[in-house]
Amino acid sequence: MVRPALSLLLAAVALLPACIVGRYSEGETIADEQIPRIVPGETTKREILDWFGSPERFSESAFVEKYLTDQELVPGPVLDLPFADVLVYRFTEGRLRGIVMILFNHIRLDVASDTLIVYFDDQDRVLYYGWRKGTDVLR
Amino acid sequence: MSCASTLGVLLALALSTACTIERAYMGNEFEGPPDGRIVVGQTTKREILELLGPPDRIQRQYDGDVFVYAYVRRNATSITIEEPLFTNLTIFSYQKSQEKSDRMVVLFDRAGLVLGLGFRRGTEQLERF
Repeated sequence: MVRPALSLLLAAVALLPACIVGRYSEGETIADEQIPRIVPGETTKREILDWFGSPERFSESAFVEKYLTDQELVPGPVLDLPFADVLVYRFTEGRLRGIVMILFNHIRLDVASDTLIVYFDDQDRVLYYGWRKGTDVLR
Repeated sequence: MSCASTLGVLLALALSTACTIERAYMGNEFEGPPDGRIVVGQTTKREILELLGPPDRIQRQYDGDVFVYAYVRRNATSITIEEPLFTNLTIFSYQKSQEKSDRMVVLFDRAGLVLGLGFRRGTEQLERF
């Protein structure tokens, strides 16, 4: 009676599952409630900076993005050089989920980002812009 | 349970076998170029931003910008059989990793009109395991 119980116990220990749940984010969240206020031809660069703050590459380094770029998993920063006629705002979020057992492991990593790109004319007024809320798929 | 069975169970536990499945999805999934809505020489950068959203990368060229959209998926599977208690010997190891991406580039001229468009959907070629 003891031996079957011991075998079952050993088997249970061998199949003991552990969960991995992780989240990370990079960059500042984009004030998407301000997006409807952007009017091409009217909104100025100063207003964009007031509403959305410091754009990408002017704020802190993106360590995870650099790692992902080195691994060739993402194309890299949206702009290599900070051009005066384009401002880029990006917020990246990642979600890691996994189940780790001795016999079977499953790990999944999802990375998505919100991106706002604003082009300006030579008068520093918005020429056009593009916006995508990509992190919704992680909810 | 006989001695042989117990020994079998212990041996099986001693020979640790691990199967690992990894999935990494990077970027924002996107559809291909909308049919008939992008016309070379007519569609503007503004319309592209409205239709496709902001690109993942802007490359500046002398002739005009290039918008790059990318979505990468990496699937990896591995099976390892090893003896972790005494010899730490790997008896068998199998690894398979596939990385595919959907990529689209839109080229513009200096006036901001579409000069060309390229799209390749690679993620459909990913094998499940």
